Amino acid sequence: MKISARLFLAVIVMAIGLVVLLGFFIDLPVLNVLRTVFLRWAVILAAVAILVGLFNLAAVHWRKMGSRQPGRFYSAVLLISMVVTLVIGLAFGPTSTWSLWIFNYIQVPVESSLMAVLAVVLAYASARLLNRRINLFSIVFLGTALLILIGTATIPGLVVPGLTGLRAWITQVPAAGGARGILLGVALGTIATGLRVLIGSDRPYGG
Amino acid sequence: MADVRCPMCGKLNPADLDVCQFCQARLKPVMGGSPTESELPASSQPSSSKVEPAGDAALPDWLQSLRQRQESLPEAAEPQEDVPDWLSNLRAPAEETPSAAEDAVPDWLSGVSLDTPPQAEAAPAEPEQVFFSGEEPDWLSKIGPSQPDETPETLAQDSPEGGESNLTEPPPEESPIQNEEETPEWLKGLAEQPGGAADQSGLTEWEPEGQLEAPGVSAETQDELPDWMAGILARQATGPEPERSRPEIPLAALGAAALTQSAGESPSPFQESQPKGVEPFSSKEGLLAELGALDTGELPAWLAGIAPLEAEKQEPAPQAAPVESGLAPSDELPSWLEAMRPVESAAVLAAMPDLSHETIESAGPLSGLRGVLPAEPGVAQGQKPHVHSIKLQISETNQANAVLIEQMIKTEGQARPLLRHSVITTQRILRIGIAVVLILAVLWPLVTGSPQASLPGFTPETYAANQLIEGLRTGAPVLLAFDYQPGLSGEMDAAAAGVIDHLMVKGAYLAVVSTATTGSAQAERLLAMVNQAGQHNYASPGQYTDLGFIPGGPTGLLSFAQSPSQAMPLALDGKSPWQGNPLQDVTAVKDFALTIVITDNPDDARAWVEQVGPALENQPLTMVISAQAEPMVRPYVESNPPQISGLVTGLSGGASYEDLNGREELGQTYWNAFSLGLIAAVLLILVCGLVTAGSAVWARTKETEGEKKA
Amino acid sequence: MNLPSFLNPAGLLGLAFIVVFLGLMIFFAASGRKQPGRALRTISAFARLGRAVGLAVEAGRRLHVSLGSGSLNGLESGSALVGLTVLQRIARAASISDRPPVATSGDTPVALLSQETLRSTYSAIGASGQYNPLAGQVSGLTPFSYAAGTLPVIYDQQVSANVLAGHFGSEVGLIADAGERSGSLVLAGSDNLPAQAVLYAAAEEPLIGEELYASGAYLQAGPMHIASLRAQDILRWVLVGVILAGAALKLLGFL
Repeated sequence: MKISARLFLAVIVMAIGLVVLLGFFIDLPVLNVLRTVFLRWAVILAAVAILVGLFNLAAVHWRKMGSRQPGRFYSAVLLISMVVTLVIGLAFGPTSTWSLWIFNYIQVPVESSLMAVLAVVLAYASARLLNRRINLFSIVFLGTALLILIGTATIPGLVVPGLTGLRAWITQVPAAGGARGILLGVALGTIATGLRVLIGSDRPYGG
Repeated sequence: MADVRCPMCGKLNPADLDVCQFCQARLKPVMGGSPTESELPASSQPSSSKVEPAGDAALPDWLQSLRQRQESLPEAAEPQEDVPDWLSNLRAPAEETPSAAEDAVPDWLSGVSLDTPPQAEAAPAEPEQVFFSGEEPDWLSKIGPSQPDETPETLAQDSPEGGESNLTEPPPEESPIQNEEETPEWLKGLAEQPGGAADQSGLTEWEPEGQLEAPGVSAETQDELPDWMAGILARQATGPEPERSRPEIPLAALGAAALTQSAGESPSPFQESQPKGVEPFSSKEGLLAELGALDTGELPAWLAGIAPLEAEKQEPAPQAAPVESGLAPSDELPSWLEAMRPVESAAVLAAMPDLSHETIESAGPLSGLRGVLPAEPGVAQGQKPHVHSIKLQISETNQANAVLIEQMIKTEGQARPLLRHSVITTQRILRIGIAVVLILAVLWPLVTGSPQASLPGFTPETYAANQLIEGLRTGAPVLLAFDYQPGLSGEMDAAAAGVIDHLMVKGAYLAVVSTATTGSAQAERLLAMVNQAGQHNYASPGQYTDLGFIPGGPTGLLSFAQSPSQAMPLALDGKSPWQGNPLQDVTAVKDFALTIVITDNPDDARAWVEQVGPALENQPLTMVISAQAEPMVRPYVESNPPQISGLVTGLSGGASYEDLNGREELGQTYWNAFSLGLIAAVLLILVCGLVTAGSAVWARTKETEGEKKA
Repeated sequence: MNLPSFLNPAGLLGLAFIVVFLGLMIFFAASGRKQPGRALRTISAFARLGRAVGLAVEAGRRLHVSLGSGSLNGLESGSALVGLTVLQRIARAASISDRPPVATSGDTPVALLSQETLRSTYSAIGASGQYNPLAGQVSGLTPFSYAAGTLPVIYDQQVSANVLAGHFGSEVGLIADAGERSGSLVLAGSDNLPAQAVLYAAAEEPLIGEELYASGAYLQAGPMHIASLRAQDILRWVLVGVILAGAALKLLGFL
C-alpha cells in the first residue's frame, strides 16, 4: 500500500511536469489548456499555502510560548501582533488607515532597521575578510567593492577623473559578465534539479 | 586450619584428619624422621612446616618406642655423615644410658649376646614413614618371627641433614627369634660372643625385589666359618691396609654374603667392590668382638671400611672413606667372594640409581621412599614459576600517553569553571565603532546641511526612462509593479520617488500590482508620500487603482500577462476596474502605455522580463531597480533589441532622475548623507581591513615561528 | 524543412536541449553504477560539513538547515529543492543525535515539504518517533522577517552548525553574522548573486556559483546527482563554445 502510494505520487508529479514542460515548447491547444489549468492550480495552492504558513508560524510560537525555552515572551508578542493585524485587516481591509498605520509605523521601520544593521554587518564583514581568508580573490573582491563605493558617491570638493567611468565599466563589463556566467550555471543546475524531480529521482514530497 | 590435599585422590581434607575421607589414604605419614619441606612436593607438603608424626595408634609399639628414643637423642650425635644411618644406629646405642640401651636391645639380639649389656638403642627412633611393604625377606623371617609391623629402614630414607638413623629396631619386647630352632648354627655361635649384632633389618633393604633372593640361611657348624669371615680375622691379625678407593658396596648383598654361603653362585660383586683385605671376621671371637663393638658404638673394622652406597655414588671419584680400625681395604677380593658375585646383579646393583636428590614421599603407603611418582600430576604440584622481569619496556610515547590519560582521569569529575564570555569583546567594540561612525556620517549632513555633495550625472538608460514618461499622454494607463521588500524601502523609495512624481505630473493612470505580499501596502505608502511631497491629488480609484497581489510568482505573472482581467478581476476595494475608464480598453498587458517595475530583486526583474516581456510586444518596459540588481539587469538593457527600455538604478539614479525633472524628492534629500556615508564606509573598510590583515599576517608569522622552534 | 505549426525553432531548440540533458544524465547514471567512485573536486565546505555533523552528534547539539525564502513557483525553486535534498542527507546523518535537526524557511510550501522530508527520512531509518512536525517551520513570510525569525533558532537552540541552502537575498548576512556570534559553523549557498557576494564576506564556508547545486553529489544523495553534475559540466562547455562561436561570428560580421 505504501509503495503504491509513492508510485502514485511519482506518476502524478511526472505527468504534470511533462505536460507543463512540453507546453512551453510545443504549441498544441491541448497542452496549452492543460498547462494553463495546472498553472492556475499552482497559483491557487500557493495562495492557500500562505495561509497554511500562518498557521504553522502560529503553532511554532504557541508551543514555544508554552515551553520554558528562552525568548518565549517574544513568541507571545508575535502571536498577539498576528492576531491584531489579522483582525484589523479582515475588518477594515488591507489598505485601510489602521492597516497602513501598522505597516508604516511598525513593519517598515523594523525591516528598515534590520537593513541598517545589515549595512553595519557588511562593513564589519568586509573589514575582517582579509583576516578570515587572505588570498588573491579576497583582495580583488575587497578592491572591487571599494572602487564601486567610491565611484558611486561624490566626494565633496573633490573630483576624481575617470572614477565614475571606471565604476560604470566595472559594473557593466566584468561584473555583468561574471554574473551572466554564474546565472548560466545556476540555470543548468535548476534544469538538472527539475529533471531529477521530473523523472522521479528526487522525491521531496515524501516518496 | 588449612585443608590438606590427599596425595592419592587429590581431594581436600580437613587438616585434623589422618586418613582421607574419600579414598582412605593416609594423609599424615607414619614415619620417624621428618624430611625437610624442600624435599617434599608442594602437594604433599603438609600445611605446617613441621612434619607431624603419624598417629601413634597406627604404629607398632616397638616402632613407637624407637621413635621416641630417636627423638630424645640429640641431633648432633651423628659422628660420621658418610656412615649409613643404619650403621650409625648401631653406634648410637653406645651413647645412650645403659638403661635405655638396655631397653632398646631386641630380644633376639639380647639372646645372642650373653655378656654384653642389653643393647642400647642403636638409633633414634624413626618416627616417620613406614614404607616397608610388609614383605620381609626369607632370611629375616627365618631369623625370627615375621613381624608385619616391623619396619626396617631403608637407606632411601636417609636424610643428609639429619643424621637421623632410619633404622628401626624391633621393640625389645618383641623377639624376632621366637623359635630358637630356626636360628642358624653360626649365629648361635656368634650369640655367645660379646658384641652386638648388626641390625639385620637394615641389610635387607639393600635387596632389590625379585632380583636377589635372600638365600636361606644354611646351617653352619660352629666350626665352619665363612671364608670372608676367616679373611677378616686374618686381616685383623695382619693389620689394616691403606685406604683404597672403595667402590660401592651394596650392603644388602654384603649382608647376604655375610649371612649366607653358597658355592657356585654367581660371582659376588664384592669381587670388585669389596675392599680388599677386608676380612670381616677373623675369628669367632673377633666376630663377637666386632658385634660387641657395634653394641658399644664401635664399628667392626670390616664394617667400618665399607663405604655407604650413596656417598660413593655422589662422588664419582672414589674417595677413601675413613677406615675403621682393624679394617684395611684390599685390592683383591677373596675367591669365595668373587664367586658369589652375581653376574647381573652387579650391573643391577651397580646401576642402582642415585635417589638422593629425589624428594621423600611424605604421605601414603610409600611414605619414606625416594623417587616415588607423585600421586598428583606434575602440573598440580605447583612448581614455582619462572621469575620473569616485570619491568615494562615503555617508550616515551607510551609514557606521554600514560601521563595524559592519568591527567584526564584526574580531571574527570572535577568541576570546571564555566567560561565567562566577556560582555565587551574586540569584535563587539569594532561593530559598535563601525555603527557609530556610519550613523554620524549619515546624520551629520541631515542635521547640519553640509557638506554639499554634487549630484551624480544621469545615465543614458535613466534619460531614456525619463523620456518615456515624458511622452505619456494624460490619463494613459501605466502598469506599476511594486516588487520590493519593506526593508529596502529606504533605497527604493528614494529611487522611485522621482519617477512616480513624474508620472503624477503627467497625469497617468496608475494600475498598481505586486508579486510580493506587502506590495500593495508598499505602493500605498509611496504613493501617499509622493502625493504629499509633490502636492498632487492622486486618489483611488480616480487616478490610480490597486489591483493587489499576484500569487504564484512567475507563473502568476505569465497568467497575468496573458489576461490581466482574468488574473486580477477585482481591485483591493472590491470593485472591478476593468469596466469603466480608463482600463476598459485594456485586455492584455500590451494595452498598457508603459510598464514600470520597481524591484530590488534581480530575479523578480528577470521574471518580469522573461514572463511579461514577450507579451508586451513593442510596448516599453522600464525598471527602477536597486543598485545590487544592476549587474543582472543591465544585459537586458544592452540587448538588441533592448528588452528593458529605461533603467533607474538605486539612489544615484533616483537623484539624477530628479535632477532631470528639476524637482527635488527623496533622492536629492538623501544624497548628501548617502555620499558621506559611502565615504565613511570606504574609509572604515580600508583602515580596518588593513589592520586586521596585518594582525592576521603577524599572528600567522608568529605561529609559524613557534612551530619552527618547536 | 517546414515545421509543423505547433513547433517553432526556439521551442524545438529548447526541447532538444532538455532531451540531451536528460539523456546525458541517464547515461552517466548508468555508467556511474558500473564504475563507481568518480572523484569530485574538493570543496572544503562539504568536507567541513561532514565533520560538523559528527561533532554535533557527539556534542548533543543541533543542526540548523535554512531553506531560504524562495518559493516553488519561481526560478528559485531549484535552490529550494536542493535545500530539501541537503536537509534529507543531514537528517539521516544526524538522526542519532539527541537534538534532531531543525529546518526553517520563508515560504510555506517549502516548509511543508521540509516537514515531509523529515518524516520520510525518519521513517526510512526506522525512527519515526523522532519526527516532530514543528521541526520544519516557517520563520517569516518576508525575507527580512524570515531572517529575523531565524535568529532565535540560532541563538537559543544550541545550534552547532548552520547550513543555509536555498534562495536568499542580502538579508542572509544577518543569519551568517548570528551564526558567527553564536560560535557555530555557517555553511551557506544561494542562487542569488547579491547573496553570494554577502556570503563570501560574512560566511565561514560560502558556496559560490553553482556549487550549491552540487550539494547532492557531495553528500552522496544518489548516483543521479553525480550524473547530473557531469551532464552540467559537459553542457557548460557546450555553452561556452556556443558563446565564443557567437561572439566570433558577431565580430566577423556574420551575425
